[in-house]
Amino acid sequence: MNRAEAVFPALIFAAVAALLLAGVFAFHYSWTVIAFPFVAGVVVCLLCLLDIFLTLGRLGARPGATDAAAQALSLASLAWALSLAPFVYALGFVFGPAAFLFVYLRAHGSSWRFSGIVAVASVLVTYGFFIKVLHILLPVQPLWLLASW
Amino acid sequence: MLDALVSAGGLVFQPVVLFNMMLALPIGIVIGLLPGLSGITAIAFLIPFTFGMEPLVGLAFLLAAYAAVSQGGSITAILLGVPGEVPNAATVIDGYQLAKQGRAGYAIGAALMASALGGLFGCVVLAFLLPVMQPVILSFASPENFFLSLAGVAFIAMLGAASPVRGLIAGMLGIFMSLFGYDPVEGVPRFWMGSDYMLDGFRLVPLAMGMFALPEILQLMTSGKSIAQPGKLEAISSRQVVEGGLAVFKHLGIFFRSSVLGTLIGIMPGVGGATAPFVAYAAARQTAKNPETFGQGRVEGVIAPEASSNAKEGGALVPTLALGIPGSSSMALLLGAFLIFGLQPGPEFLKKHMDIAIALAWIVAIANVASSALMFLLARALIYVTRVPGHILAPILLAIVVIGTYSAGNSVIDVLFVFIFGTLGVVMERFQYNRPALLLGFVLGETIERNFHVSMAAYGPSFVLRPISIGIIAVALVFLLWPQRRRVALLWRRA
Amino acid sequence: MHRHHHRRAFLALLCAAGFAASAPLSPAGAQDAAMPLKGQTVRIFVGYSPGGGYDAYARMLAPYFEKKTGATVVVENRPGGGGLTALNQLVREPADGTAMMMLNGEAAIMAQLTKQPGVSFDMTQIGNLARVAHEQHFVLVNPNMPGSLKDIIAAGKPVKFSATGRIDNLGDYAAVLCETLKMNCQIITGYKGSKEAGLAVMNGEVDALAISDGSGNDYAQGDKTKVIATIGNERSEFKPDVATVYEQFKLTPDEKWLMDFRLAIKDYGRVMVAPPDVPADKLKYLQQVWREILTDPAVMQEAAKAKRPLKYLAPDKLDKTTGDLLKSLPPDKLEKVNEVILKKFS
Repeated sequence: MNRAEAVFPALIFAAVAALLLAGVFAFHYSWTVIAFPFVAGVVVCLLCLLDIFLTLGRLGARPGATDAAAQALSLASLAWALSLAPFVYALGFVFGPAAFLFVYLRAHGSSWRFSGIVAVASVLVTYGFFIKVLHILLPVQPLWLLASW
Repeated sequence: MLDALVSAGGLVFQPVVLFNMMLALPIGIVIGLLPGLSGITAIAFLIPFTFGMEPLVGLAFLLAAYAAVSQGGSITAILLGVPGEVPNAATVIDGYQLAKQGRAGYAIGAALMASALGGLFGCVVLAFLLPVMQPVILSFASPENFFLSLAGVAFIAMLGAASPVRGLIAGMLGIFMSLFGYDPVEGVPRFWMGSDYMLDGFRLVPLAMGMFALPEILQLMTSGKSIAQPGKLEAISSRQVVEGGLAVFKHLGIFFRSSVLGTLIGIMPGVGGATAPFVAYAAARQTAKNPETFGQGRVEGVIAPEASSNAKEGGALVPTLALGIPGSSSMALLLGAFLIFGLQPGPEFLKKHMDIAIALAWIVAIANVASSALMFLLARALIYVTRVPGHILAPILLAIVVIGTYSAGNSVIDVLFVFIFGTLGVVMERFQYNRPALLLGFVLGETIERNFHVSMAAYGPSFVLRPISIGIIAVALVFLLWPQRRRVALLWRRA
Repeated sequence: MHRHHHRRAFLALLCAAGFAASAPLSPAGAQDAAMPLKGQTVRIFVGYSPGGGYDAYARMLAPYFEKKTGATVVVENRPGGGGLTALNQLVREPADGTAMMMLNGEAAIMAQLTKQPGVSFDMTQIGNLARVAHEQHFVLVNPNMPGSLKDIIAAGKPVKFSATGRIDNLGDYAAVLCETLKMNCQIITGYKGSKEAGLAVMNGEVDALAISDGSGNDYAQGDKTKVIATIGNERSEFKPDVATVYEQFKLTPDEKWLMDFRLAIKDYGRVMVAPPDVPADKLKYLQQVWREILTDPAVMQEAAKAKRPLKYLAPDKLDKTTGDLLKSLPPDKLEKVNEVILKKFS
């Protein structure tokens, strides 16, 4: 658990360092352009190193202050959350969320009727309120039909 | 001056003005409750309705809706842990914790009372200062904005005082991320990787929604339980809400400090208004007993950002009306509305229409109070949301967040980033990296760079010696060192 | 809903004026051939968030387009890239007449001319429909500065201009002005927007600002700033007593060409454009519709009242302008333009 904590700062360090190096050597940004990100990025990297050092130094020694807060998130919930994307891609912003809601609610124990009601309500809110009342340009058609996003 | 006040009162308390304000309030509240939609959405949406209205009636209509939006946004911050607008992110820190403890009503009561009174405060100040504001606004130039933003960064470290290194990492990472996109000096887009979207860098709404909403949604999906943890539930009653409202009076010091901070920040057109709630929160934490319990459900952590957030709106009207320079991006839209009504805010406007200007201050004040009152009535119903099982609430919330994010920028890529930043948010929450700190860094980073560059170019390095700048540094140092004041005093005496 | 209320009010106004005028243009019996967009949804892109000038023009003109064509018009705000990401997106739209853009033409030409990253359009191929408006520019100075350009130049001290970037319609005007008049200038970029740039002049952080006349007039209220010159071929209707730079200074053609070049870009102005390769008959139809709308006295009057005056220019002239500006400049002059606008006076 404690060793795993060092992964996040390590990743940040790697990402920021990579971007800065790319900025100087690949994109050839001039000094004026790269100065601020450089300073900020270097500070981030140094802080990450410090964090890794402190974390590894605490291996096994610290009681689970983090453990109490960390409730493991299930992979299933992540998969479900991401599944909204293909629904919206296939069916647009009005029917996509409605279909997603229907499928999710059914799969997690709600009745046909309840799931159906929520799905219909979703269509009413997205189409009736967002599109018709607020004139927000939610794409009704599937996203793969749109020329530009 | 006095006759302007009186005449303003006469303008405001006409039935048609009040009626239209009441009409606009529910619209503002609904828009505020939906994450991703903001005050700008409300104004843009309502402007066409105002064609044909008398100028003051139309402006009252717009300002009322605008004031109501932030009330709605505070509620979602508390009930769902999702900031309705970026300024509400500070309210999430303690407000959502209170909701999890089954005390959402208490938090809401405090938030509503703090907003109402904070808004009133900002408007009173506005009404009195408006005639004399110009020289004050004009003495705040780029160096002062630079030091103010820098002070904001210092507060970031304070937000993460429990684990300062991680708080700083979050904040500095936010600053780093804000620098993607066009650089302010030469206009060269940094790290855009050939993508049109990244020409302007990362966007604020997907970042805020992703970091705050996604982790909560995933948590709800995993546990299936409601937001309010069972075992700590009182019966839902208005009593909690009233208690929360009264709590503001028990913490008057924090309230006034936060309102003053909010008003000041709102008045200065160069500093981002989104920083006001964070600065107030950090200041409240600094000056409170047991600051380490902030973040676990301290009501002061709700009062401070809410009061300052609404006070700043009254403040933002000041440069808008006095100079024709919008104090915030919503004010920019409002300026457009002024033009439609044939009014031209600025020095001439104040000379000729001081009574209208003060009337607008009145209207913002009344709208704040009225929308708070409206929300008090709705609070009981809304609190039920925290009792809805996770498996039902989570997908609905996810759909709302996705749709709201799209609405904010008309871009599907924004929605994609919600998920990307959601991943970031999940990891940060797990390992205790301060998310509001990242948000604040993101908001401030670009401002710091701009103001630094302009200050150096316009004044040379001696810009640090300007009197107001030195004043800001001094005040910031006082705030930072306050908890350590005894130690500092000892050191000083020994030296 | 709201648009219909709005529309009804104006229908009453326009019916009397417009009916007689429009009757000969749409002979009964040829209705559908004469209204090929009837019943379709037409989108007008705007490269900025709601509330700005381009947005206001688009939303003001949309109802008239609806009435003339029978189409439904939707104004789509697509901010980003300095207003030009929307243009990148427009040129990828199908060229069937259902997508248009209320474009910052000056910015588009400047971006292409100076080869900015993120330009995936070619203004020489764009379907020009009409010029909607263009503005003169003012030179604003802090009230403590000398009252005329000649005095400022004579004083010899460096003049600080504020700008948000080098090609933002603030900095490039300043650069052209300074180069043409051989002024000792420093252009300070980095301000967040034109309002912040204006505030900097008011509080003395910078000395001067070159800004569009509408905004400049706003900032000159209450003597917070002084307007000392107009940059344009004509004076501005906002301040007709302020002389143009050409009136104040006698310049040789050699000295004038850079400013003339920039003014030619300015005259391209705010334009309504369609993607490249719209079929000729559709393009003609759209151009005709916009010509009718933008030259209609009732429309022009409403626009003037809203402080968004219309200044129509025909598309064939616009085509010639983009060709001249982007293709006919000799390489040495092109290099000079890039050098002055992007690098000099830093």
